[in-house]
Amino acid sequence: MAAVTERGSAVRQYDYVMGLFLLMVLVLGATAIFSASGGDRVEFVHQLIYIVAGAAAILYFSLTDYRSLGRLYGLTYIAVIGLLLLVRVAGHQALGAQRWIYLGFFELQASEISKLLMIIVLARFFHSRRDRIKSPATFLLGLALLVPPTLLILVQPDLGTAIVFVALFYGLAFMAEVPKRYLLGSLALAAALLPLAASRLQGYQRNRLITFLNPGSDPLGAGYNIFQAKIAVGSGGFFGKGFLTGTQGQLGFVPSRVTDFIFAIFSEEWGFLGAIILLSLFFLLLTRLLRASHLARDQFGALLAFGVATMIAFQVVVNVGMNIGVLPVVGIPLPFVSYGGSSMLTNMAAIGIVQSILIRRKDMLF
Amino acid sequence: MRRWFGRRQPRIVDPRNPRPRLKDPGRLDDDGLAPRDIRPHSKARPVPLRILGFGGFLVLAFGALGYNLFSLQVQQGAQYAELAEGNRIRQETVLAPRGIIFDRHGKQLVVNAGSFAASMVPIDLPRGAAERTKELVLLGRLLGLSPEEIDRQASAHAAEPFQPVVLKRNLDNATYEALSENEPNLPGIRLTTELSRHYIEGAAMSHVLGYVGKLDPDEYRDLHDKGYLLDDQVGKSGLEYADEQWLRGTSGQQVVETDAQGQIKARLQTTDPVPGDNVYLSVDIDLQREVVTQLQAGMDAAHKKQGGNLGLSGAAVVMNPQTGEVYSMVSLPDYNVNEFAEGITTQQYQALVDDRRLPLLDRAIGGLYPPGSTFKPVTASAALTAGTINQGSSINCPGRLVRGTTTFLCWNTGGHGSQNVVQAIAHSCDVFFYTVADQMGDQVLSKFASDFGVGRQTGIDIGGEVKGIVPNSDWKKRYFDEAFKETGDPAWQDSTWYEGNTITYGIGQSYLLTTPLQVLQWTSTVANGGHFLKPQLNNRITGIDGADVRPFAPVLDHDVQAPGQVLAIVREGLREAAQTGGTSGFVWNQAAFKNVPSPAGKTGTAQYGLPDAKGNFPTHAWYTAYAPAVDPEVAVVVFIEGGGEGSDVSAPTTARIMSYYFAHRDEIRATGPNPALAAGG
Repeated sequence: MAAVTERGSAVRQYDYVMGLFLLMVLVLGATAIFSASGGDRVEFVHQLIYIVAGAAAILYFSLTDYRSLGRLYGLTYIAVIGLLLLVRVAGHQALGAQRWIYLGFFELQASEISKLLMIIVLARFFHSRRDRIKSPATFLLGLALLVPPTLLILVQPDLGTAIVFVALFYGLAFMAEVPKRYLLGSLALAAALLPLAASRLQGYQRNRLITFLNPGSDPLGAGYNIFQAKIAVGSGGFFGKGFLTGTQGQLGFVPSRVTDFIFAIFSEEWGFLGAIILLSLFFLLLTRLLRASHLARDQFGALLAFGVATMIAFQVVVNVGMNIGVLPVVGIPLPFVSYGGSSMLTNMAAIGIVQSILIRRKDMLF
Repeated sequence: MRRWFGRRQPRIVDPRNPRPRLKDPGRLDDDGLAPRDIRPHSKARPVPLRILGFGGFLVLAFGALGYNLFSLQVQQGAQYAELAEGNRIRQETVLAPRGIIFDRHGKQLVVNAGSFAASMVPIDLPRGAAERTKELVLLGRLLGLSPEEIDRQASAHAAEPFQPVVLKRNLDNATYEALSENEPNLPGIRLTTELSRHYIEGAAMSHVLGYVGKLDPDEYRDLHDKGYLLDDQVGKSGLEYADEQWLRGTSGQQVVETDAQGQIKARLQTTDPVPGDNVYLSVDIDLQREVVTQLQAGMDAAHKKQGGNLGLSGAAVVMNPQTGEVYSMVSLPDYNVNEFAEGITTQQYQALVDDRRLPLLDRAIGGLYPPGSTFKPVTASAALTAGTINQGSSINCPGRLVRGTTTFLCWNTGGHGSQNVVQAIAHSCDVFFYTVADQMGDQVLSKFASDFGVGRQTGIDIGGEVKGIVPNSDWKKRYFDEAFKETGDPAWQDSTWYEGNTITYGIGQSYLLTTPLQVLQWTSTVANGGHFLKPQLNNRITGIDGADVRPFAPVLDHDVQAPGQVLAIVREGLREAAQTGGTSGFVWNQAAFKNVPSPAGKTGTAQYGLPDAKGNFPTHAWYTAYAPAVDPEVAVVVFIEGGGEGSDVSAPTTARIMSYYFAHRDEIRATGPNPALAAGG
């Protein structure tokens, strides 16, 4: 009897409020994909399949004990490295970068999956070092974990994901209470070294580096395209141009409509009102993730949930920022909205893990 | 390393939770999560500062995004909406179909042939250097143009980046297919239909019709205020040039919605272009062809006789002396205007320019030649009007006129004996006109010559006309001094007007230079009793509804000073010249020309250039005539360059043309749509 009661309480422990916010984001996102996917709507149909698959991932990971995820974190880390190396060797090239691994029915974007795997690895690492968290060795070891996959991502090249990795590292280190002087000091050092390194490069080398890190950045072409996205957002006005009637999106002026610039499509058609509603939903979703981090019954869970919150928050802010022209374009998708199976499954699995943390915040039978 | 792979931690019983309720969490935590890691219930601890801090960061970040969105969408929304509209909406000019040119009976002389063209919208070409090069190479391969040429065109049209530029006209089927297949890979390229000019009478009417072509940069500078586009066509020569204002029509506008590749998605608003007005010429195309045939035959005969470079070119004009309607105007050799309309190649153009017979020169209005004896009616009119002579004055012609050491020969060195003015014209007595000119003086003669149109444009409604030279002592001084100052050539050094200059002036030599049309114009003025009319190639101009925009009306420039009775005397001389005993009587006496009622005409054999080894100068063969002698209805001039004797080649040619005219007189004189054509024949 007791077990049944506890099982019932497990169902009750799901954060349905978070689920509601997520559902609303998904619905808004799907309509945007519908609008941006052109006459055949093929991306829309695929995206629906990814959402359904993502829902299954939520269910699966919420029922899986999150603590078991960290158990073999060394192997997980090796899997990340292996996956990224596999992309180098057997990857499928598209848009000037090697990012996909063909799985027969699905093209896996290893960098998306590896974001979540890195959260698990880093959360588990900092957790295991909790007694020596103030030690410089902990920080340096953490950095040592971060650098190899980040470099592998950089040479794909995928500047966006590499930046996400760095953000995750600092987010988790911050939450794990690594001394702030290490974090700020290392960031300050990097900030100081970067322009120094850049200034030593010749103009053409710098351009080459920029092109290398961001192949879409043909100076004239990309600038034009980014501006078109900005025009799309701005021309939406307060109420938007209406569903399916955004001229910038429908007539193809906005680049990468279904992926990186889906927010521009959405904002053009739904205006400031729609954009603020979508951003608010993201904000509320993030507060629920932070709440989960607080409620977690152990530090590992708290770190995992915080890592997921960092990942989603960072990607939302950077993606929206580049859509409205206040941040540089660095190939980061808008979570739950941008078209793409790997990204959708990764983010949904992350939500599942957070739900698992919430379910298990009290001791219970499982 | 072991711990990285999950070293077992020693199990420690959490003192805060010594007896787990259902299941020992210690066993669950065998991956290192010792029971002691389990935190107190969340309600028992405050929200960590770090989570609050991160929450604060989110508030700031989302706040910044929201603020930027507000600024972009609400504050600057209107500006961006305008930019988006500018992207989407384009206003394009739709060129009007050019007016059609018909002959006087409504026979079509040009068509606007519809064809497929490949056009480029410069703004829609790929912006990335690599993509752009790729597209230009592909395009160049499909169109058979060099990528550099296309690139040059794109930069040349940078001022109108939204307006399509035709890259290649008259696409063949294979090219069209290849382009339409590749259209999705070719942003900024459009397949369009367009009208291009095709001249049905490509050669016979070449000098009259002229041709159209793309604007050159100078023309664009002058015309773009009038709505001309860089890719526009404009009349370049002939009537296409002169009638530009009628033929062009009014451009339409279309407001279109385009996608990012520049493909038209919808036409939002269209103002239809208004086609150009149709022009009906005074020319009768059948007569024109006949004149070409006859002039060519006359030239061939002259060339056969004269040899060398002589007799290879000529001009002929047929005009109604009462109205100024030009029934036919021919300059040979001609050229194929369609080569120009279709886009002439450099080689083709160079060949035309290098041709020593100068096929591009319209000799009828643009060539300057000494008129020779065809000028004698002007000398006679001047002398009679000025009172130098009267109807009864006679001058003895011993075959020569001696002034000091210089001897001026009459063409008939045997002498004409005593000649009055009528006889002198009929026999073309040089001594008579030497003497008259000498007595009259260069100033008087040049004044009357000007009155008869020498040294000024005839005012024909077509471009390219030259004025010629009406010389006198003032002119020689000014002209020679200037030429000497400029060139330093000793040939220009002596600017003194000599008596000999005046004497030869009387027979249309000296420094006199005229166009064949000027000769015809003074002949017509004599013929019609002194009305100096402007020759007109355009007859009437009609709008698309068929109603006259501008009906035909003769344009009288002025009435000459020579009074009617003077001109009647001159006409009598011209009539007798065409009769037995006159210089061209033997021609008109031929049975074939008996259908020409009472012709009147003047031969001309004008020396020019440098003498040959035997001291003989080459001569232009002239004949100017009208018929009938009373109330004339047709006037003809025939000029054969280096053709020899006027009576020998030009007079028979004129007679053939006149004979044709009178054989088809009623058809030619009629205007308006040909009844046969109207009936669908």
